[in-house]
Amino acid sequence: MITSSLVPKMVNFLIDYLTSGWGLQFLSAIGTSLMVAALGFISCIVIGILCTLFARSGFRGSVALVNLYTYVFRSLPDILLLILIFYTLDGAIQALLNLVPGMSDMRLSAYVPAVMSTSIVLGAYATELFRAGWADIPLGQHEAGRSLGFSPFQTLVLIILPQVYRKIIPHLGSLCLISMKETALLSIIGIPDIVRTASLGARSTGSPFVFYGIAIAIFVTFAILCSRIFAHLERSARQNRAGA
Amino acid sequence: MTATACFPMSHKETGSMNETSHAPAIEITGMSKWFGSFQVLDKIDFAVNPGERIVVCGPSGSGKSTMIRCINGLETFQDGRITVHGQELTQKTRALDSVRKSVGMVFQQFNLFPHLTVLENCTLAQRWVHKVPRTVAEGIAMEQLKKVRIPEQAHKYPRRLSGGQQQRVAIARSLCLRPRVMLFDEPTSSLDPEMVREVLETMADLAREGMTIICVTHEMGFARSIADRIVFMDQGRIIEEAPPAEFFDTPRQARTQKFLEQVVR
Amino acid sequence: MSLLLDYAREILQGLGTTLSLFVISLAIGFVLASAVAAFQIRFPGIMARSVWSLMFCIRGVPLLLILYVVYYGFPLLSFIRESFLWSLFASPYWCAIICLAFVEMAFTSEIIRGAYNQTPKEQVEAAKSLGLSGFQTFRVAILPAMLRNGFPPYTTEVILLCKSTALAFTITVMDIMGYANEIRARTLDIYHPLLIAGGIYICIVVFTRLILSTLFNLVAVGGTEAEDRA
Ligand SMILES: Nc1ncnc2c1ncn2[C@@H]1O[C@H](COP(=O)(O)OP(=O)(O)OP(=O)(O)O)[C@@H](O)[C@H]1O
Ligand SMILES: [Mg+2]
Repeated sequence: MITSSLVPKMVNFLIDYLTSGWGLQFLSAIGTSLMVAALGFISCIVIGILCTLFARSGFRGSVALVNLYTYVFRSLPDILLLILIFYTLDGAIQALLNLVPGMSDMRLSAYVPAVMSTSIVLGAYATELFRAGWADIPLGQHEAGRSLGFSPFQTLVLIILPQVYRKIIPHLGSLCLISMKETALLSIIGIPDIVRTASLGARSTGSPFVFYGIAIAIFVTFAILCSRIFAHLERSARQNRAGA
Repeated sequence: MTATACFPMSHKETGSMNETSHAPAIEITGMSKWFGSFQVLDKIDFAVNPGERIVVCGPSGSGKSTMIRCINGLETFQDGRITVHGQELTQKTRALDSVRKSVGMVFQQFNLFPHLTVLENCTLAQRWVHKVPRTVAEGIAMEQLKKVRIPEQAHKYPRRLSGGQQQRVAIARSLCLRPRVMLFDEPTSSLDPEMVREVLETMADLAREGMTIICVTHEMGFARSIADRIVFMDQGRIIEEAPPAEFFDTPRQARTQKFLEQVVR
Repeated sequence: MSLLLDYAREILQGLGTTLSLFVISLAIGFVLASAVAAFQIRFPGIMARSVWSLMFCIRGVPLLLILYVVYYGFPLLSFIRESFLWSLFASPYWCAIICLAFVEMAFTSEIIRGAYNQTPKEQVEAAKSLGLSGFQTFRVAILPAMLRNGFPPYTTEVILLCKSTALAFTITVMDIMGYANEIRARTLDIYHPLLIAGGIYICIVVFTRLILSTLFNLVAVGGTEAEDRA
């Protein structure tokens, strides 16, 4: 059989390839990107929920403040924010640390500004998303929760958020994809992410299309996985509702 | 509700006036239609004479909408034939166009174009399809809007109108093309009860003028007073076909009796 | 203060580049997207699905990576170097436009397709029953509904494109971001040039939104939510 002899060969080739230098580099690059993407995604959702709660809290000016936040950070180029944070955060923290005697030399990892800028930018999108989803939920749901004796926090977690979640799952999927794509910017501030690894490889080996091809394949795979996962989540959420 | 009182009729006279023309306005022979493997219409045979008013009724899902949508080519059918004023309906664009010019249709959901005013809704097809000059088209439109008793709404957008008014605009929009046959698919089912009457009255006016009408409706009072014939459908077949008096008082089929018991009560 | 004005003057040299990147790629992207969406609508089935998959893949790849492939990779292909394409791909400016338009095509075609699929079937039937021809039906029943449904997501997409143009500086295009970054590197003054650039970008977005909503009100008179509420 052709296939039976071909498969082990392919596997061997792949293992060889992966354990030689560039394969490992790519693996660690994937890890880096995934980590930053995951952190960015999670914190942008937290930001989205907090900002929505704040905007709905009824404090004077809270709505205007949240509007300003989403407007500015949906208008500002992400790369500009990243560079701004990258070059200033370190200095700011150094200045703070210098005030404390004996702690003068601590360098901040470049990952911190990376995650920060991703979360701030995506947080603006997430806020818009959550606010739109929240607005659709009838006020009666909140009152029903309270009248059943739930605390405001319980009402939020048990009654409101699951409903918002169902409404915005597809958009959460695209947010997740965007947070992965955002990690490409890390290469600009020198973090060895997928894009940086690919372009280093492209430059040093003289076969750019292999390296760029691998990078593209990684992103496309992630996009497919992401859409599958969120389609599944959407389906199961709908089934839960039908069962309820 | 004794709807007969609402629509004082003289239809027996107008009806007989039109019986002089011989060719049927619409003739359906052996028409069958499937959605995939599901048969919606089963060998429909059915003819309508010019000036006749037909009411089609039957339980939900029996294929009433599908049948009248076939008559102006909104649905295709797989077997049999339909002729409209002697012209056979095929899926050829030319045949469809000429049939649609003589057949007007009113939908349950009004389906006015939301971005056009009432007047524009009424003049659009005249100007685009029949190449009528704008001023003439507007004159005809105003005339028809007067007939459905809402000329004062001409410059509003459809969303500003009540459901009953929107449905009357939809009727006027079709009438502007001077159709020889009007099809109605449950024109009053999505209206609030108090608006049903104004639409039924508009349709009664049309009937009085001798328009050929095929109307799917569950308004049995309206059917009794307007219709020349009532067609009862079930599971894609025409089960019974009779003048209203006979249909309501001495239905022949058991299924018709059962249906009438549920609807009239 | 005068220092800031100097910065601003220098950075504004890039305004024309940024705006032309934005507008040209928006226009090309829209034309391509319309063609792609029309193809998918016109030829359903395997063809449409493969085109859709291609667009899906493009949407999954970061713009930066596409920029690198086109700017650093394409010149190595001999058929590009030896043809008229070379004059295009040798220029970072045109590389940026090509990439932006390419990505814009993938996103916009999906918006157009989505808007088309949301068109109420009843509107089309009403138009047909009045005897309107195919194109007339498109014009009166489908296009207005597509505008209504497609405008909000398209506005978001246009703003995203505007933001994305800032990435062009990574392949040496001197746009607003390029000048701001150069000043940053030269003077080691970080805040001022970047904040000025940010302010300019926000102004561009404000104007873009203004223009888009004016356009929308022009083409979609009546029947819109806004008109209804008024
Ligand atoms: N596009 C379609 N695809 C598949 N099945 C359809 C389609 N349209 C209608 N049907 C089926 O055809 C049958 C007849 O539908 P139709 O709309 O003609 O019924 P109806 O008599 O008008 O009912 P109602 O009183 O509810 O309007 C129904 O069982 C319906 O489910
Ligand atoms: Mg029906």
